[in-house]
Amino acid sequence: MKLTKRIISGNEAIAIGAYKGNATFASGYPGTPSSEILDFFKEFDGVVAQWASNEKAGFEAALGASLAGARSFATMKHVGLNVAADPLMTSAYTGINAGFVVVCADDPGMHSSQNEQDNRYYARFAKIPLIEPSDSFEAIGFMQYAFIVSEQFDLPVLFRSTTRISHSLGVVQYDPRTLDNKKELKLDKNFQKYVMIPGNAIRRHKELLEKFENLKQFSNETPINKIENGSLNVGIIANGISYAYAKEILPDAHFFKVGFSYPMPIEKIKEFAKNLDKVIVVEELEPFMEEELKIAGLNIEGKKYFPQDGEFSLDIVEDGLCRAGFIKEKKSTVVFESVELPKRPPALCPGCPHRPVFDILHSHKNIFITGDIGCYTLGSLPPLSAMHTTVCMGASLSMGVGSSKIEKNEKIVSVIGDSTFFHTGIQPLIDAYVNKANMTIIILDNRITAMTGGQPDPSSGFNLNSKPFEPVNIAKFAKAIGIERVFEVDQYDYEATKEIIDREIETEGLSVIIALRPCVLMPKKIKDTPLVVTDKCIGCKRCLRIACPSIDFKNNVAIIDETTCTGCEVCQKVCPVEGAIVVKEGK
Amino acid sequence: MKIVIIGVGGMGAISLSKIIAEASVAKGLYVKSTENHGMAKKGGLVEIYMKINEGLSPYIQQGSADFAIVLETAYSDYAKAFLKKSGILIELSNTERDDIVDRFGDVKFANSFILGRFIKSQTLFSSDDMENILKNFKNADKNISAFKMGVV
Repeated sequence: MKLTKRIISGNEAIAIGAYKGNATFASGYPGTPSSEILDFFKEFDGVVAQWASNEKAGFEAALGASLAGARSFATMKHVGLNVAADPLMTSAYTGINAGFVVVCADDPGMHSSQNEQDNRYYARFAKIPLIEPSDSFEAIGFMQYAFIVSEQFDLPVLFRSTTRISHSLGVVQYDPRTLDNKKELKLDKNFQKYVMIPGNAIRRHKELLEKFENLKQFSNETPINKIENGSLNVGIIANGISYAYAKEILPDAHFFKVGFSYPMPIEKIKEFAKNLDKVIVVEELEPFMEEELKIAGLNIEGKKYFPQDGEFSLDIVEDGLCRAGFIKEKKSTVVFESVELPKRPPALCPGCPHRPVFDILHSHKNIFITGDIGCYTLGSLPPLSAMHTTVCMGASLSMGVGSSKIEKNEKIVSVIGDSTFFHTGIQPLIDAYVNKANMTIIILDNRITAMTGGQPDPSSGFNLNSKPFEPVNIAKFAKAIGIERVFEVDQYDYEATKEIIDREIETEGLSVIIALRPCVLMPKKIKDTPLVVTDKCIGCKRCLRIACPSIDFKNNVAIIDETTCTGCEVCQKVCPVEGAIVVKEGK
Repeated sequence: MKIVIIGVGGMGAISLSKIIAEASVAKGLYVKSTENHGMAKKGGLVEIYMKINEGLSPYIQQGSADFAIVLETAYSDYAKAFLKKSGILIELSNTERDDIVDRFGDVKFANSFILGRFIKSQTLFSSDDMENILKNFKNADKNISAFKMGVV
């Protein structure tokens, strides 16, 4: 047996673990920090990996594959499980056929998310097992184990990663072959198990409660809930990355490392805590484990010493251990606060096709712009400042529908990207038509899920496995619904785009404008001849208002960085002086 | 060994950390590394922590790093905050950067130069360790020449 030794991310480790665990089907929707898992998984032989339009569809596809006899898993970011919460709750009743694992990656600290909800509560809510790795190496092993647990209890298993696990690299050594435990399962036709009409569901709920009692015992016995003895007479209960931080700071404490965190291993923790002077819980975000322990009558504190928001760091854990009296004083001090850093505000990329749309919207005073989730959320920041709401995927359209029924002075403009439109924008588009909403919908169709790294979507014309298809045509789709005012435009044609947007905002009723220019970075990097500023520049700063990172202002004139300029010419289009910005000659 | 690499999106900070990580794995060293993703792609700060043969987590506290490698001099002061007293700051002057662009035709080779400068300042890795990784790169010749310039 030859072991493979590599340095890999937690996300790659999850994909490897799934393959080793004989998973042959996976689906999901991209979302930081979970997006790379399917990209890695699709590379294995004999597997099916595919993107779904949203997390609910991905979850259900994987559940369907499980019923058809394949070990399967679904991937999503934390908020994606909100979208897939419907099938999650009821698949806990139906159970599974072949092993089925729901992989969700939480984002403590909100590196790239709209909230930092703690998805461990979903395991409690659905009464299903919860498994959490603390590094890449564990992710490989725990993922294989998750499929076994799923089949043993006939339940979906929630596998929770976090940004720090998914995106950190670690050295792993593993046998690249799959486990020798592949079962040949057939499609499971079982009316009482899978048709959740009340008569069946009532029975399945009782069975779920019985399984849950067995799970409680299992949690005390599983080897991934383990005690590591130390020389100090204090104990630390920790999961995920919190374990790594606490163990690094205080290696001599007794540790209860929780890998199977729901239901909690209550009896085993009682044994662990019995002879120790003091025991605390170290867990990122919510007091999930702490609450379970307190319900069980154990007086173990956690959030008394550690914050309930934000991402943990060695500094934060060291602080908490200090407050708990586990260490006398902090060894380190934070000397440099990030506020002193040179500011580099995030901005749309040079050449980004979203830029002209927001520049045009910025010039309108009496409009209310409901926005959505994607690169284009950056259109909300100054100087573009052309977005008034961003809540969750698809909410631009649905919130716009509601606002348009109440607000009579300001026209409602909803801005959404293609991937987000296919995710959860389709249904509110139908609602806008059915309910005769007075709103202008702008769909920024850049043919890719850009924000998460360029995953293909129904508008791309190729799928996760690079297989081509005729792209879904959003204009035809909107017309098929029955919407009459549907227009397509290339945003690099600034004047034409402005004319259509201005006209539709002034027009009573529902209209859909599809902005067709593809992403400048993905799937192909687009770079045309750069532009340069001539001595005709009057220093009016109009071009700075489009917030292009390639444009700077020095010595009272604009300058363009030729290495980053993509030649989109939008700055030239907004410049009031003829000949002040020109395409560079000699190319 | 604790290394912090500071740059901005698109400057190759991640590639640089991967070279050091690959060299570590090839030498049988244990390495953990973590980075800040997301908005970085849109021109923001990229901060990478690497721990080689020590620690359980990849996180590095301020005042504790052995090396801080800075790809964007605007962040030198911030990078220094990560260094322990005897820690070493690795950076490139603007003159050196211009020289590399003149010689190799692209600023991206500056990272190989800076890697060389790092190698010169420590004993865990040899020049050969890094050259063995760089030789598999696109433009291997130029990268290795730039690297050797940094080592000298």
